[in-house]
Order: sequence, then structure tokens, then C-alpha cells
Amino acid sequence: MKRNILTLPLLLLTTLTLGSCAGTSTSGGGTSTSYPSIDEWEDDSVDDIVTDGAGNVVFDDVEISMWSVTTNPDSVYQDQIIDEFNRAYEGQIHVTVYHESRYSIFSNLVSTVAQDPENAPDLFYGYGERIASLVDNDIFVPMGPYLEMADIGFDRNNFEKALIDNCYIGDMLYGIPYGVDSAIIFARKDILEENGLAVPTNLTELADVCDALVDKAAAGELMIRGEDSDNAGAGDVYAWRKYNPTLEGTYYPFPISSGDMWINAYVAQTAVYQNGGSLVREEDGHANWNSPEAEKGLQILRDFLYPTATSVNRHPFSKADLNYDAGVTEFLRGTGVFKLDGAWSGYTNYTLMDNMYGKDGGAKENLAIINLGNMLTTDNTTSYSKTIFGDSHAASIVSSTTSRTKRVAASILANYLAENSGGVWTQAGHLPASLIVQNSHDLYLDNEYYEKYVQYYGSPSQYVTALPTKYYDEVSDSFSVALKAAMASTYKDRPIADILQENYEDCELRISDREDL
Amino acid sequence: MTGRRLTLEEYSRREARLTSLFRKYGLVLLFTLPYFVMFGLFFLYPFVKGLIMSLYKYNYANPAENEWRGFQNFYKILFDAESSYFQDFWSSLGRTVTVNLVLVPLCILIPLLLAYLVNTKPWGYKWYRAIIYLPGIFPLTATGVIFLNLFNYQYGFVNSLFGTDVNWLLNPETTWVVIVLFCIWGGIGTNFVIFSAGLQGIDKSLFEAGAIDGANKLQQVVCISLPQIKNQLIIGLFTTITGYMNLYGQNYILGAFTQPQKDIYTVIYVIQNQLMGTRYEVYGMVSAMAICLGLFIGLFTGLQMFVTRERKGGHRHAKAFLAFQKQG
Repeated sequence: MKRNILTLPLLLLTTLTLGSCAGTSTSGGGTSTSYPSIDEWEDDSVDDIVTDGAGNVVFDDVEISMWSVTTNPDSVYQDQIIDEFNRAYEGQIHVTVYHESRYSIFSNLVSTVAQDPENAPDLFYGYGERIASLVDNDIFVPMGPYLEMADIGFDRNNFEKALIDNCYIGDMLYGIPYGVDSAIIFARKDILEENGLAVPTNLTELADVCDALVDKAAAGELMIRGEDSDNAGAGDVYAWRKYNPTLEGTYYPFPISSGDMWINAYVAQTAVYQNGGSLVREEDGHANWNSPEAEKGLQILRDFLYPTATSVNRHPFSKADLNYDAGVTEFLRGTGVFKLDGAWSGYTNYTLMDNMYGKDGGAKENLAIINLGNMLTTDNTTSYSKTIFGDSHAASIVSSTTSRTKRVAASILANYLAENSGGVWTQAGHLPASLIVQNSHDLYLDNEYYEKYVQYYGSPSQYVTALPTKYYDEVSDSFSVALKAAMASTYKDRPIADILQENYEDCELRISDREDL
Repeated sequence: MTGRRLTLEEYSRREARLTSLFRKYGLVLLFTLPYFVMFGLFFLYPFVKGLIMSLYKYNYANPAENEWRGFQNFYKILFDAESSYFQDFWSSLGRTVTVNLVLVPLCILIPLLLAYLVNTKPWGYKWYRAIIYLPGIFPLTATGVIFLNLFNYQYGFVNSLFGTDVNWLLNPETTWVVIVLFCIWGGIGTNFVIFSAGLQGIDKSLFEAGAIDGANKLQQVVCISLPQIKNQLIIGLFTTITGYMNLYGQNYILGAFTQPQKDIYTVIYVIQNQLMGTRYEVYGMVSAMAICLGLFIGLFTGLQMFVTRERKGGHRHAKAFLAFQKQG
């Protein structure tokens, strides 16, 4: 019995040790990203194209399927645009859309392409930053040749440069950008005005306003109003009262949490860019955030919570280590003035304030919408101080579509989506990547929702997205870990440079391990 | 064809044998078939597939890139100290084992105590039985939301009740405390039911005999109840160890804000992290990691089986009795 007990682990250990010498060796060096150029690319689609006398591709009831990462409410708006497309191309191209959450749609896409290509979509509507990884796995095909065949006058100069450039891998276009989003600061304009304060336009002003609010609150002079703000029920939203520091504790004007998506996915990255840094190294797609510029950006964010003698704010904007949905309750009750939210929440927040203060000018008079430009840097004179980091949506042709006619039809659809990303899409709060849409009064500038809130989101030209890299997961995940550590009270005395260095090393190790697979 | 013709007797014997075989096993096969189909589809096939994947550089998105690696994945995980897979695996395994050392005894002793108390049939014991089992039927996420709200830093019930200002879900130490509470609260129901059933099945005459021999209540529990429900204890121990070696959901729900985040990673958490995003080529490595975890679970449960095995007394007690008689 004893012999048997020892034999099994020993056998296992020996097998594993010996086994480590077996197998095909893989190269451990070279982590640089290289992609074929357009000259090397070969069209692997089946040539089933039929042309008319003028050489135009004929579409005879071509069925296209599209998978989209949008969910409610964006999916509703997108369905309306697709319906318009189906009407415009009736009898020629018909599109069926399937919406799925971002948490599962990417893995479903790759498994379907690899194992069940018959049921894979023809067009995939996802995130621009994921294009490189998916191209690296042969999930997408270049769009350029099919756009040329479609002959619809596609021109890259018709798109916001930073957004279309990131859809190019090497010299080939793999997606058409649709729009861009980031986090937005929503502010209680009514409370600012009642207390004689102006809506801030840059970080210094924001810090001054927040300090003034905290000082007034501590002196018992801060006037606030809001839903259930004195536990007397929701009916008294118009009643002004003084904040009571003895009963209500320290006042925090701008509750934030490093765990919330806004900080995690947009604000911290924007802080890096506004201080001259970037996230991805252009040469090899590795992390580029281990820099003094990124350190400066994260220090500003840390100062929001733990101000020092050198920070721009004197008082903390927010209590540290908050959990989910920081600031939502405070914003409604008026016990906080600023709140971070997604650009797509513009409609919700605007409607909310309209409903709360309808008799008092509604959202127009009581809500201020501030984009992140100049909000995370102390130097507003640089060319990058207004830069905002965002997510871009883009549509790409899926490689499992073998029919060339379908690929051409899919490219027409992708371009249509981009060139019609105004109208209802403006209501959804997304900034268009297409310059045609940006300059269109009909589609964008005269839109009711542009006037209400989208106009305050900043110009799409202010927006940047991460450079395309197949290491996006490693670069982004490690940065997120560093950010959370930089803002956590458990690490508040640890220099940010150390935190960045440690996570950068971890990021490099993970990239090299992935390369070594 | 010049084969010998069957005699009528031989034919009827063969037919009878076939009919008898069908009667004997046909129905058994028919009723067990769904199970075997499910077992094959959802356990055997994934298990074998996972074993094969673990020997490859397996790209889920691009099978053309798959590459034979032999045991290199296992070597990296178990022995290559420079690799992130090694670091992730061993540190998370250490944490998983440590939490098991705390959780498993608690998840055995608490339900055992509760089962014993309920088995004394106090007033309303049926209600107690239902209440103790109730948390076990709640979905993990629902319980998670309850615990998130109980231990919320700003508005949490626990801080309000005790007037404390503890950010329970920030530090790994306090987060682990909440995770352990979560596991106990939601996980003791099953063991409670198993132990209750065991205790109810004990022959009452054993307690009477023990009482006649002068055994007090504690001695009756130690010398009669526990040995009599040994099999149930073994099952409880086995399922608890295997369950909590795969701990993940509780940590995922409660540990989103914990710093450093790595300090709440279990092995399954590390595996899940690898599967997030678009790292499709790690599936072979991840399969190897899962198999390594499986091997360690096998090792621990094997150890548990060895320790709790049926010991054959041999002639030891008979010899001792004879020696006692001689002395007498």
C-alpha cells in the first residue's frame, strides 16, 4: 500500500520533468508585431460577383448577418439605422442583426468562426481596440479591396484621423469606425449657482470649486437641494437647505471610485494622455504607461482623494475606497455636485434632471455637462491637454464569409453605418467618427439631443483610442491594476512610479509568456 | 457456405439466452442510457478534450496555429519559476489551500453541530431545518449582492449596526473574512442535510446500551454518533474539499475592490482571468493549469480517504482481550 502511494506522485513528477524536454520548441525572442502588407495579401473569397453593364456589382437579395456588441438602449437605436438600411437597399441587401453583451460576444465570435463558420456573421460590430487581436487570429479580412469593388466613394479622409488610423493594421484597413465614447462629468449647476460658483472648465477651476464647496459645507453655509435630501421624501426636491456637517459628516463634492468603469476605462487613461503620455508603444505594441507623464497623470487622480501640499486641490474630492456607482445617490440628493458617467448616459441624466426640476427650467437650467478636456492636467497650454481617451466602435468583415458578393455587401453596410451614425445615434450619446456626419446639420448639428447634451462632449477630434496591439489585454489589464493600487488607501504612501514599474514588469512578463506559448 | 446447421435445441437455447440477457440488462441499459449519454457529452468528452488541449499550444480562435508541446505547459506551471503561470498558479494554490484549511473544518463542524441540535428535535425543529438549508438554494450572485450590501463601506448594514468605519472589501484580510462567512452561510446546508440524515439513521439501542454502560452525552456523541455517521462525514469532507478547492464566484463578487487584488485570487480565478479578453492562444496552458489543480485536489482527497479509511483491526483487539483475561 505504501509503495503504491509513493509510486503515483513520483511517476507523475518524473513524467512531467521528462515531459518538459519534449514537444516542439518555440522561439522566445521577438515580440514585435508584424502584419502582411496589402501587396502580400491574397483574396481567399469565392468570386461570385455579378456585374451590370456599367460594371457595378449586382446584389440580388443578398442576406447579410451582423453581430453587434451593443445592448439596450444602444441596440434599439442601431436597429433603427439597420431598418433604414434595409429599406434603402430593399431587394438588394437585407441585414439581420444579433446583439450580444461585450462579455461574451468576442468568444462566441471566434468559436463560431473556428468551429461553425456557416453560422458566423458576415459583419462584426465591436470595439476598435480589439481589432488587432482578432486580425492576429485571422478573424477579420481587410476591407479596402471590397470597398473598392463596392465603388461607394469610400475615403479615409472622411473620418476622424485618430479613429480611422487605429483601424489600420500595417497598411490594411480592417474596420470602419462608427463613433467614440468616453466618460463625462455631470454637474449640479443649480447648486453651483445657488452658492455663487461657476461651472469649471479646467482642473484648476474644478479644484477651486470643490474646495469652495467643502469650505462652505464645513461652515454650514452650503446650500443644497435634491431628492430626499433631508429624509423628508421625494416631494421636496425644490426646497433649498443648508448642509449640516455635524449630522452629515465631511462633505465630498465629487465622489469617485477606481472600481467604477469611468475611472478604470477612461479617466485614468485620459490623465495619461493629457500629461503627454500614451498607453501603447508604437514600435512593438507593448505598454508605454511606465513613464513620468503617466505618473503625473495618476498623481493628479491620487490627489483627488489624498491631497498634498503640492496638489491643486486642498480638500479631497471624494472619500477614498468607495465601492460601486460612486456619486449616484449624492448627485440625486444634492449632497454631491459632480458625478462621472458614460457618454451614453446623457439621455438618462438629462431626462432625470428634467423630471426633477421641470418647473424650474429642467435639465437646461440645472444640469451642467463637462467633458474631460483640460480636466486632468495642470498645464492647459499643451497640444494634448484637451485630449480625451475613449472607446471606438468599428465594423469589420468576418473571414468566414466566403462569398465575395457578401463581403462587398458587408463593406457597404459598414460604410452606411458610419455615414449614418447621427440621428437616433446622437440620442444615444455617441460622437460620430465620420466627418460627413459631424458636419451634417440634418444628421447631427440640428439634432435635438446634440443641442441638449452631445454638444458639450467635446469635438470628436479631441478623442484618441489605444493604438492597435494584439497585447491589448495585457497592456490594459496591468494598467488597470496599477491605477487601482495608485488610488487605494492601502497604497497611498507608495510612490506611483514604483507601482507603475512593478505592474509594467508584470505586463512584460505576461507578454513574453504569451509569446513563448 | 458449408456451415453446420443449428439443431432446434441449440437454436432455442441461444434464443433463450439472448432473451434472458435482454431481460436482465436491457431495461438497465435503457434507464441508464440518458445518464451515460450526458456523462459522455458533458464530462468525458470535455475531460479528454481538456487533456489533449493541455499538451498543445491550443488556439481557440485559430486551430491552424495549434502546436504540439508535450508536457511543456505542465513544466512551465509547476517548475518554471520565471514564468507568470508558475507564479500565478503556486501563489493562488497556496491561498486556495489556506482558505480550505479554515473553511473545511468550519463547514463540517458547524453543520454537524446544527444537525446534532436539530436531531434532538427541539420545538419547531422542522422550521430550523428549513431555515438552515435555505441559504443553500439562493443563487451565488443573489447572495453576493446581499453580502456586498451588508459589508458596503458607506451604506453597509454591518458598519451601521456596529457603528464601525471598516472598509471590509478593501483589505484582503477582511475580504477573506467576508468570503469565508459567505461560504459558510451559503454552503453549510448540504452538509447539514447529509449529517442530519446520518444521525437520524443511528440505531437508538446503541445509545441505550451506551447509557447503561455509563456513557455521558459527550461520550455518546464521540463514541457512538460520530463513528456511526462516519460515511456521511467522509462524503461531507470530500464534497467540501473539492467544492472549495474550486472557489471562485465568491471572490469574484466580493473582491472587485480589494487591494492588492492578487491576494484574493484562487486557482480558478487565475484560470478565469486568462480566459478573459482576446488571449485565445492560452487555452492549452489554461487546460494544463486546470489539470494541475485537479491533480492537487485528487492528492488532497486521496490523503483524506487514506486518513479516514476503514482500519482493519486484525487480531489486535482479540489479543488484548485474551491478555486482559489472563491478567484477570
